[in-house]
Amino acid sequence: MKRRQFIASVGGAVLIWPFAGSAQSPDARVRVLIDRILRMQAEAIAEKVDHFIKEVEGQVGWVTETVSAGGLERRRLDFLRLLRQVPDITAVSHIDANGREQIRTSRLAMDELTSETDFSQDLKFTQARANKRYVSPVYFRKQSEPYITLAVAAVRGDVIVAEVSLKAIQGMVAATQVGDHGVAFVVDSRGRVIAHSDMGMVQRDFSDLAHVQAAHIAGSIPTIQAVRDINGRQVLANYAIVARPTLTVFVERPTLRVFVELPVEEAMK
Amino acid sequence: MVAWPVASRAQQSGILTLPKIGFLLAGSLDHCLPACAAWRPSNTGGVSAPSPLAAGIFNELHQLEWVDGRNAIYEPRFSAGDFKRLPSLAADLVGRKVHIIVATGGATTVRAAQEATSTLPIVGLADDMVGSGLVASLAQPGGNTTGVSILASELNAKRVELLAEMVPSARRIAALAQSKSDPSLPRVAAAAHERNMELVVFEAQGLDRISDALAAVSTAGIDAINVLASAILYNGRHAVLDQIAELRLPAIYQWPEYAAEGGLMGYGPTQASIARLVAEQVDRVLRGARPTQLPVVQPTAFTLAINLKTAKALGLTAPASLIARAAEVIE
Repeated sequence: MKRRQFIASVGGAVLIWPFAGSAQSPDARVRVLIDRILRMQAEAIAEKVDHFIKEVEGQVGWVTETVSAGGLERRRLDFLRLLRQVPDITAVSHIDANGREQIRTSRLAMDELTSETDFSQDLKFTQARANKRYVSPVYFRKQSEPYITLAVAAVRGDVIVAEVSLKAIQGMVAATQVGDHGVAFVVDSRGRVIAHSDMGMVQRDFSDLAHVQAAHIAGSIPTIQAVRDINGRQVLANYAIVARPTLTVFVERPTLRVFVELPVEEAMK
Repeated sequence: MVAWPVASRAQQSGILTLPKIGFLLAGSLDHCLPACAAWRPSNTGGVSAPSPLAAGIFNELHQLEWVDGRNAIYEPRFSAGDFKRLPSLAADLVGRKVHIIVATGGATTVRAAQEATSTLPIVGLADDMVGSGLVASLAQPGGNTTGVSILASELNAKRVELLAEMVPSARRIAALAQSKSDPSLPRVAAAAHERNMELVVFEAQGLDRISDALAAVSTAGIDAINVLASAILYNGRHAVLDQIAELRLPAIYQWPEYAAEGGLMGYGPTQASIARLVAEQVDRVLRGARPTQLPVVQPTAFTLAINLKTAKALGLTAPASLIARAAEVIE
């Protein structure tokens, strides 16, 4: 076989592939490369999401340190400052060591002092106490915007709870360009879309997609290649995992689009 | 993603069919980008204020590269606060074969667009898109309308709390509404009662009613006023702000920007942020998203702005809790 050059336009970069004959077909080798690029793009988004959650958590952690000092009003001021500093937090509350809510401040709902609402059996209280921190599954506020509940243990068994908007993730996904016709999206643990290059897909149920199921089973070892996307088109896909909350970031590129740019074996005969 | 045929054809060939964006706007536009200068409304009688919201939407659309005269054609129509003009303005847009209608003057304006067409995509901006029956649900709008819903009920009630913090002595507060059947009023009343205040509702159904409504407020022994989210009160905001200043009434408004215009305080999403959300929805539709399944978005960022000069003039001291919450404090 003669030495040939294969040229693929991948993610804006032109890769020159000097192919000198091997057990692998050129298609397969280009696929491996594209697969790697898709995985890197998925990982980049996952890292941003992870960083975002940790940032918010750090900000909430800051109020856990002062929660024991000062009276109710003083603590409420700290909470209000937290709301001002972190736009992604919609509400923050303080549950005392007995599981009773002492303060609740919100951007939308009315603030409450010493409501004494009992959260002692609530996961956000019990899990935060047991594990220092609790991150709820994603929920959709008013069936529109994705949120998580983030609870952090404070001193003396108190717990600080923040309701955190995940809208920022939509921006991270939208900012990722996947070739000309590729998409990126993020699904929650049930396969529901919480962010997508095409916002019309948000909240759709992707749990039936083979690669969404495979990612769920395979855990953190990305192994996916050619699959069908939500519209039944053949795509190459790869993914990355965000641990808490449990999210999976997918990046897909149409198979056809990828290979139409390549010299096909047939054409070269 | 399926590209919208007209938009993609225009972008690829650079000829002929540019997407035509119809705007159905409450209020007027006394200042805008040069491109929209031709659309100055003729007879607003100087009552209706210019709309930073409309100007903001044009501006954001330019940012998203839907530039009037270059790769889009804008067809703005201003009702100048006169709802009776809406049906003919909407019909005019449909007659001119626009590809999308952007209706931002609240529920009445969005409904006027819906009555003019059940097929053209509509991007609406309203206080409560679901509560007003404009869409089936936020997640799945279900018809030809999607858009932005601004959580008016919750925010109108939340403003009661902030007003009470600013004026702890208040016992009797007013809600100035566009209509006594404003769906947020039960929540607003409940919020007032929770803080041991009585709520009295005043109504201004048109721009020409604002003055009488506030005159009624002035004789009702009111300690503070909550000016509810409303297209009429937005368009007539200069009259509202001026008259409330004359009455020396502590007031809270829908938009944070009012504090810079002399209002005591404003709480909610900024007009700039809402303009962005609307423009993004328009962009998605022009790029092929179908309103029936394009979720209605809600703002998540809310700003408290306080004008301390106004507070001082009213003999009020903003408490630490409000200062801590405020993103903007005008000294």
